[in-house]
Amino acid sequence: MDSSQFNNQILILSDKLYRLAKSMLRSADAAQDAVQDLSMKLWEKRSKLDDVENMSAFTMRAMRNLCLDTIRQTREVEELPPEKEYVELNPYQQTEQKDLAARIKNMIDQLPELQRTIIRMRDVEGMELAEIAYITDITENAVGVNLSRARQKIREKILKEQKRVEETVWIK
Amino acid sequence: MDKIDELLEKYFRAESTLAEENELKTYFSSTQIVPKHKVYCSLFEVFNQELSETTNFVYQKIKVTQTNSKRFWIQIFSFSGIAAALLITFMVVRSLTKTENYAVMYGNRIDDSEYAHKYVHDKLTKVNDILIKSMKPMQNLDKVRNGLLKVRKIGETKIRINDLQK
Repeated sequence: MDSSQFNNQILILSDKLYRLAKSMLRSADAAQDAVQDLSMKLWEKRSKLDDVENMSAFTMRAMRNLCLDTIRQTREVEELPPEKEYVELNPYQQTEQKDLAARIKNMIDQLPELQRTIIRMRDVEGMELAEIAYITDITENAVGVNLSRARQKIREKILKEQKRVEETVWIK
Repeated sequence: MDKIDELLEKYFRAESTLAEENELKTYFSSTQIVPKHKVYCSLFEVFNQELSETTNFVYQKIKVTQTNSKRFWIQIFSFSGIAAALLITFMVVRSLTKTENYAVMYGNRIDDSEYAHKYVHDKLTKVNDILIKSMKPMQNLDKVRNGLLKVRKIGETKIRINDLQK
């Protein structure tokens, strides 16, 4: 693979890779670093990329593995808990996050890593379940189960939020 | 609207196809959303927002550059290749222009034909002398044969005398 093929086949995916990294690492700066890091690694191994059939899925899988390594290293250094649990926002936070869209974004970010990766790959990137299964290295059936759980959780939280807003209006 | 309800149920059970999900996205991005569905508007809005997120990292087009050590080795191999090519060319030209008339004496190659002729002539003369000397004893063989003939004649004469006596 020469430099022009690399630019056309891999660098063109940088936004997609960035969104995946941001979803997994929950940091724009860390996501930028991950995209840059992956690009360099792929460039160094460009001679082996000619055999890859689905470059998009292969690159996304490589990015997911890179992010998982980063998360593992961060945990080892900072000893963070595996995943943060979703907590109800207090009134102060609620006023800060008035926008429901921002709250939904927060809800997605609080999902377990696999579920938030899958829901974003499907609903944001519009990927097929088979492609997601390859990237996440699980079965297609498991992707469906995780996607269903993620969507149900978000739905419950949205309805709960809606109900709370309606009750607040009723009290007033 | 029953269709949208049905699609939404399929969507939350993760049983919808990409085409059906696109239909939902189109519906929720329109202005004709019925009030009972408005609660899900923000969900699909978030997906659209996230899709527009792009990396602000400015890529420099990858240039093919080599490190110093790589460049060093490339130069070494290039110069070695050129040197080898020149050497092979020289050897080929030399072998084509060189004469094939030569003699080998005691393992030494002699290209001077005059010297080679003289050397061979001397050697052949020596061989001739040796042959003449070694052939001299052969000349005495005639004398011996003549002598033997005389002896045989004596024997024959003796036999004839004996016959006459009888």
